[in-house]
Amino acid sequence: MNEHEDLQEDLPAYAAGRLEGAVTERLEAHLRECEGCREMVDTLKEFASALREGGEALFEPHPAESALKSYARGEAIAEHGRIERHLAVCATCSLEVEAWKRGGSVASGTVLTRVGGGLPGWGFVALATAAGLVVGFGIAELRRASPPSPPVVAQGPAPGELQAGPLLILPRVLRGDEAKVRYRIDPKQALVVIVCPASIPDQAAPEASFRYAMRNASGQVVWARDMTAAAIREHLGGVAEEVTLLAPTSSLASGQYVFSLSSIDRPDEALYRADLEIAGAP
Amino acid sequence: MPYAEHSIARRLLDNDPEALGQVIRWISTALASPRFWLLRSEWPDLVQEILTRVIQSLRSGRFDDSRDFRVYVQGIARFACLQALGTRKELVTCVTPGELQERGSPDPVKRLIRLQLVRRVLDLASEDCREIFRLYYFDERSYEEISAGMGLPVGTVKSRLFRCLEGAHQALAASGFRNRNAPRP
Repeated sequence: MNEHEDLQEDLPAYAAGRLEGAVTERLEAHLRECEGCREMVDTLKEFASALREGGEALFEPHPAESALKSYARGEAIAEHGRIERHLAVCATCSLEVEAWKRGGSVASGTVLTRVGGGLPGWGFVALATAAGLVVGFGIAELRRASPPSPPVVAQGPAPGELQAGPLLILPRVLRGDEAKVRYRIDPKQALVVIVCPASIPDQAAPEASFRYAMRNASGQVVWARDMTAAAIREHLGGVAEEVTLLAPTSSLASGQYVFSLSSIDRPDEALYRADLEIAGAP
Repeated sequence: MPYAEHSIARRLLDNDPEALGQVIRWISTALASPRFWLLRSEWPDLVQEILTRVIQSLRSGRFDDSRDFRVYVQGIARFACLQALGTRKELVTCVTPGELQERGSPDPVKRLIRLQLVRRVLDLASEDCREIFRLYYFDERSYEEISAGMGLPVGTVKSRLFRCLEGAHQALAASGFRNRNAPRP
């Protein structure tokens, strides 16, 4: 075990200010040399501080959907206090409450009532973030995906044209399993949206390059996207479990394909693979 | 109707409030991520729009019932957000939550973003990891105390905490969590 590995397990205690003795000096000397460990210490300090700041509410489970619905509608519920504490630290549940406040039903066809404005307690986040925040791979992808398709996406679709189209959802595959997906292209859509499980190794270095590719039955690559591990992780935002990719519809003919993810350095060793059957191509 | 009788897809079309709640939760989870903070003021409208798309998609039989409906809903949600971002002029400005602090944003904003990121990391962590985070950082227990409470050797507690934090570090670093102005050790 080298010094880096030897000292790593002391990083949590050091970040928490709870490391004592000679090992502290050894670790500080190592930190002067090791950028990775310095970054981890910085993150752990912030993480610990956020845990203390958020308090118990951070560790409590999200309230049930029915409880949030009752809360949003002003009904008397036993969990009222806990929900209020939770909403102060959870944007997801705040959004759910807002959705329920707008009411409506599925059957009516007008699912929810459209009103403007932000969320109580979270509105100023919008103000601060209006200047722009993490955009990541998704937008780059929207802009780069145009050739050979027409530049519809690059121009930005009008709100009335927003259509997700059928998504090509690739399955999670256990080693040794064979996944086969049948997918019908919508010829009216310029892009096929591919939802792929995130399968890059946790230990992959940020600069390591990976290739998502689609090969036809002859083994010819008809579409590919190269990304570094850092770009993929940025795309996932630390929390998503699937990578969303866009492939021009025009690059796909009806037929059999293999979708794969592999390291650029080891193209023959697929980290993920799914067999596809594409139909309905124009 | 092409969807299994008790599936969430079918129940959603049948106006089952529990299914609607579940789908709203999936959509909210996809939206309330650091990638889409830029759209924060539009989140409530986006929930509506995405829900409408999901329902239209179900009604037109586009969803393959053998697939994971959550992945389908969240895929539509992320795609809708990417399209919404694509229409914005502010895309030339791209900063991370850490940089918000550098630009002099008020602390409450930084606090909420940090808490949301930490909340998401805790949601994705295993029960064991959440417990050890709570004991070590929130209750400020020592390795020895945690070891006694969990019935594990001290070395195992130490390695488990490190492994759990390593996962959290990767997730948080990818989200731009760390304050770049934090003092170096």
